[in-house]
Amino acid sequence: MIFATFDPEAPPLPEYLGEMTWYLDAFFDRREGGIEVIGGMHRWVMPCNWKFPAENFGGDAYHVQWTHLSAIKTSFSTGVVTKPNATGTMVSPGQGHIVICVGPTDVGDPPVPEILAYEREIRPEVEKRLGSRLGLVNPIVGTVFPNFSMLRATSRTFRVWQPRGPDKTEVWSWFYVDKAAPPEIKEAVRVAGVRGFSPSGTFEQDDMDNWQECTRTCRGVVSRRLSLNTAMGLGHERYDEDLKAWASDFRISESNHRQFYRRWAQLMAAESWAKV
Amino acid sequence: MREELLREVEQFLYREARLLDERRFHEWLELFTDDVRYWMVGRTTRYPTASKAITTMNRHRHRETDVASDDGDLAILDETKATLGGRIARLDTGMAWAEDPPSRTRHIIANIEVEPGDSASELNVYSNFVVYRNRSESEQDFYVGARQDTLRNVDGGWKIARRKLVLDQNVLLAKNVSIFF
Ligand SMILES: [Fe+2]
Repeated sequence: MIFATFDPEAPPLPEYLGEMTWYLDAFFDRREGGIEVIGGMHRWVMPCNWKFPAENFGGDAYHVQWTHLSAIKTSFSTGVVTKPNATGTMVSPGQGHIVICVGPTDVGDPPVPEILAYEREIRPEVEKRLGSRLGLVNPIVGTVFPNFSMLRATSRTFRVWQPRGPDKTEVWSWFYVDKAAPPEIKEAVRVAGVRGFSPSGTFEQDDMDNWQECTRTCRGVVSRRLSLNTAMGLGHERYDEDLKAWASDFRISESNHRQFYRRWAQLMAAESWAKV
Repeated sequence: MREELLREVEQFLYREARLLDERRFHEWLELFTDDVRYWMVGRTTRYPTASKAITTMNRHRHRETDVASDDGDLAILDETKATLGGRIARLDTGMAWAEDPPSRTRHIIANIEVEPGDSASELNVYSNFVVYRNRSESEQDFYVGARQDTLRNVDGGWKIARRKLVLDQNVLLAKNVSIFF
């Protein structure tokens, strides 16, 4: 995975990512050897503004039970039930990077029996590599500001949301697996991805319809006169020394939306990196 | 191949297309064998091996085919009968928003060829599809491609035992694939 920029003034990558590097490791560096990408990629064009998927992957924990209930009830293995009282927190290590975390004992993996068994087996190695922070939170989905997102739960994907104008976004999506995983786990991750998070994904289909309608609605004459309300959970967030990030008190909160859009507004208004 | 058999296969495929357009998905699912693999492969944009862009480099490392492999690569769909059934059950929940309101589809099936299959009870059937999808007010998409089916005679009737779909797009220009082919 290579990050690059055309902007000669941009800060160096470690500085740009800051404490987000640990959260990236929680997706991509869980085992010796890191990850590999499954052959091919999904590319498709969505009729929405790029910020909707970016904020959704990093902060929208509250859409899941409404948007995705149909898929939760009918997809994958019916033997695995999502814990109804899942805990968790919205985490932002700063600079607009945002991550949705469930609690340390909540399921954060595709609900397929063989993947869950594999995760139990590798848990000691993962804990050793990621350290004590993993005992506090389980990062499952997030966005590196501005338009790179990754997901561990349901499917294992990372993607870039390529803006194609204000109301079009081209998705470049890959699926990833631990390099050290056995072939049958890699295959289980591949089909979980195709079936859950892809142009045909039983989960992702409904997201795309939401983002399309959000974009359309924002264009309305009346909605243009109004400010977007992202006040959910306002005042219930703090800097957490152990997480080395801002964290919400509840999993249902728009604290990460505020982090994302505050950074966006800051960068849009700044003349240069020096003025940020 | 007997004329009568060709007609029979054509009518089978046309009826199947009508079931899809009339959203009779439970009846449609019954047309598949329990061991079916139903998948739509990905496409890429590739240079031909003869291209100067390739011949100036190591041409032996070049893979010319622009169709993803059947196994191991990403697909757009890769389904069993059980997961197809899951997709249909999802549509029945009343909360499958991508199909609520539902797409209006029209499946045009053409270029049907029938060849003997791997066993006496099977046929290899090739066809092309043009699927028009219109939804809500102004959403519209064309999905165009080829199908490679294996039809199996089960108790005197045809069932689909394998369906490979090859879509003629690299970047999918529709926002999703929420319908069946
Ligand atoms: Fe979603």
